[in-house]
Amino acid sequence: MEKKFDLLTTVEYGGCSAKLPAQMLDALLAALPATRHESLIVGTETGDDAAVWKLDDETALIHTVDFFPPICGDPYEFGRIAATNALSDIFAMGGRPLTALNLVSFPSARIDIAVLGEILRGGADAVAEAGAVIGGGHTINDFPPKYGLAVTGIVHPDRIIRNCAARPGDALILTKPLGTGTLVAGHRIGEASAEHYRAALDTMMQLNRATVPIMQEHRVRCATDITGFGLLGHAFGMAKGSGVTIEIRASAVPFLPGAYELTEMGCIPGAAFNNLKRVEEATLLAEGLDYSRKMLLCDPQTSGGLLICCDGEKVDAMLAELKAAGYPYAALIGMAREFRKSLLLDILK
Amino acid sequence: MTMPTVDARGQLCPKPLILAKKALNDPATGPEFILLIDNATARENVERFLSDNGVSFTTAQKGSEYHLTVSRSGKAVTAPTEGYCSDSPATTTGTHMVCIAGETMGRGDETLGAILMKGFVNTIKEIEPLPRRIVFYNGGVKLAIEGSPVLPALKELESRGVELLICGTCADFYTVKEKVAVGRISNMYDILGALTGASKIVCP
Repeated sequence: MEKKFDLLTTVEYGGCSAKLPAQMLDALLAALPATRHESLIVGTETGDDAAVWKLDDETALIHTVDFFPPICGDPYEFGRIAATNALSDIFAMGGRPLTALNLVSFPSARIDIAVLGEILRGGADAVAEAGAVIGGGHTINDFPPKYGLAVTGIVHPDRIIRNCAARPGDALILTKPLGTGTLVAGHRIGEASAEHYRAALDTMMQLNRATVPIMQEHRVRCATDITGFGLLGHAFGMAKGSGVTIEIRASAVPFLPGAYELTEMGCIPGAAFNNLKRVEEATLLAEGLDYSRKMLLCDPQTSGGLLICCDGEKVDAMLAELKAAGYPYAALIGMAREFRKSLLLDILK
Repeated sequence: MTMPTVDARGQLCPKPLILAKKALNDPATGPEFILLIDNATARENVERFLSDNGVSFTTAQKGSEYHLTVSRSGKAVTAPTEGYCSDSPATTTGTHMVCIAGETMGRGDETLGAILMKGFVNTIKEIEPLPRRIVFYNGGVKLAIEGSPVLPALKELESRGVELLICGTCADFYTVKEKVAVGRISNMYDILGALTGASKIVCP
């Protein structure tokens, strides 16, 4: 059999690193008229993971879309990661995905169409594992390839999990380790070990689905998924939307094996610097905070885990359940505090 | 005495940062070294990294390249950048830029437009001061690829310190990205930044 096509040869920046800089988007979106409707109960205001439309007192629809250029070389794994990442927004809202539509950009004249077949197969497997069905899609002849999903899900209107409902005193749990951006960058320049890179791929292919029943059982009100803006970027959004100061203990944050060593070497994706730039104005970094640790907190994640707020007394139970559900790295990483003047993030050593 | 040089040109981000850090940590490098970078984003990130870590450095721009003189001692680099720059051809660029948005100059006959554009580009180097930058977008990117009749003129401009920005989206669209033979592939963010910062914009 001929050698598999390496999708990474088509892009400079893949996965969620390919997002437009948030600062640029913030300014642009602020200038657009606000979209208001009494049934649109989650809109654009807090940059939440998805839009939510209340149908009746029992059911709300969740809408989300996500797509990006290749994050890895293998087409099947790319499809699987892109779909997992797109589905994640439904889970981050506490919902259940129902239908998904494929979004495809693919240069049919330049790359064997069988490669697209593999991408779609990976996506279909992730959608099936999520308990949803693919209902169609849309393709564009375009280079470099891009793939993702538009997903519709449902949630009970009283059980929506927002990114802006953190309360002072909430404990913060992170479900997956950080470092996918660093490991992918390290892999591209031949510095990441095969084993460490494989672990990064596996974590990106892991659905956040099993987190939802645990969150709902413990009556979680606030969570978000960690993607391109990094842990600090998404925690920043949560603090801003909730009107709290979020305290994160850097030494408690789990990293993928090999990620810290690569960062020490200087293997830091460019997007990490952008992410840091975006938050640092309202962030207090502890004196003597380890530089590599700080940069990993800003590492752009693709299909990252969830950052969950929960009552302090539920932390132990939630951590035990998350670990049993297949998230061995789940950890308590910080607390939400009363808002301190102009300070959104307080990063401890 | 020649300073050790770390060549990170043509390297994908974050390789330049890795090379910089390696040189910083290697005692064999000596008290100072020069880091060559040809990508604006990599330069920004390396500079940020050095500042964050309290490393002193100076940056000199040479055409589309950045030459960072990095001090390993942690003290300020005392050698003035002027001294370092003096052995390069004098840069006589102004603060204006030229914006090339198509393959042809003016509206009307295509053949005539192509002749005019060729004349225009070949003449840029005759007018002092030279533009600070030339940006190529849409069909304009085709002037910067292999086989372009104005390629020699563009190469000369680049060697005299004019920065050439080639729209990456456009080069992709026309599937000529591999054939771009001069300047550096850029994005809308850089291009808009350059246009916004220019004192005057000259459009053929």
